[in-house]
Amino acid sequence: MSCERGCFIELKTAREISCHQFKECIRAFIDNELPVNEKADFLDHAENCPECRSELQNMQFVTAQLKRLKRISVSPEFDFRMQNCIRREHERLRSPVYSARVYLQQNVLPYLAVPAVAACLVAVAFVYSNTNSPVMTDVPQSVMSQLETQEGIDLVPDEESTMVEDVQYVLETVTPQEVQKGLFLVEDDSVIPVSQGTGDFTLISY
Amino acid sequence: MQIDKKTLSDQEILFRLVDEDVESFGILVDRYKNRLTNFVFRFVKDTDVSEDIVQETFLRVFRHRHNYKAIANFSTWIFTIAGNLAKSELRRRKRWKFLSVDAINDDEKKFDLPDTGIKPDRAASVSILDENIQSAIDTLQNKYKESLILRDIEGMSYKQIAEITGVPVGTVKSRVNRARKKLQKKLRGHTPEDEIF
Repeated sequence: MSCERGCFIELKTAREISCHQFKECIRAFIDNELPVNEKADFLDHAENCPECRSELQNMQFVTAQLKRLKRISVSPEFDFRMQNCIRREHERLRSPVYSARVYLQQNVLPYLAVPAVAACLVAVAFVYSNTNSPVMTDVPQSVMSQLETQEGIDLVPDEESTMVEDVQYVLETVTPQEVQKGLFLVEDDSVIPVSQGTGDFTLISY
Repeated sequence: MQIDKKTLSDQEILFRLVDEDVESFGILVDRYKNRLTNFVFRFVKDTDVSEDIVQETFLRVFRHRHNYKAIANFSTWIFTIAGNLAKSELRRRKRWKFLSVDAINDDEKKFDLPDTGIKPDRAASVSILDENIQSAIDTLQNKYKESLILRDIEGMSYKQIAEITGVPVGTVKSRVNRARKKLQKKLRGHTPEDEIF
């Protein structure tokens, strides 16, 4: 047979349990969960075993004292404070502002959430792509014409390089804003962005 | 025919509350305010803080009354809220390492005076024992403390405690048993007053 705790009690005789088994069943006895026949065996053991009896009495003392602990009550002002609190909350929940907020949260926000998130993702992707990718563009013909007609400018320090390549190199290194503004300058032998210029220069714009 | 609202069950009052019968809420407050305060006090050991937590508990019940599911026991629900708030307070104190002034001020008492009619020496003994028991409870981990308080102080069933704490009944029984044993060790030296057995 077993007590409520689930421990199995092996009976040495018809009415005898071990001290270990007794201690395992103390909680069930205190909580009045031991079946009647097991309770008799339990009490029988306690009567004959001083150590187990003492253990049981100590445990019963602890639980009795817990039940007798002086109970804490609310202060006299609690009811008044609680009434005010509930009244304020009731008014807040009935206010037009709160009702509008709840309406938006329940009926509007769910439908806006997905498009808003999608728009954010697109914006992030757009900004990311513009800041990292180099400005690759064909050299406009007008720029080519200007560069070809500039006097005293040698855009090709290396004979094997071509003007087109140099200008493309510059276009790759300038910022999108500078390309849009069309601001380059020719300094020394190279076409460079305005931001890097230091000395005599000729402004090229297109 | 007018119904005496005080005879209504917790569920019935809550359903009335959903129908905007706010006055009915006072009946629920009257029923649970002292039990909840006593329960929360065992965690936070401060009557003012206990009342604040109980007030917040009732406020949350009022605010979320529409979410109350009819299948749940109301007392289980409200004790769950109060227990969670009490444990949050303990966590908050741990973060700020709060030192209570009451701990160093011996003049102020956090406990009510014992009943009159008890002899002075016995009254002092009872008060000291209460303080010792409360101190012993304080040393328990929250999970043991909660189960012990709900079982041996609030007198709840194991099934109710299991619903409040969210663990199986067997686990609750085990926790209560271990908590009692720890208390027994802490309170060694206090002889039993009566031959209970």
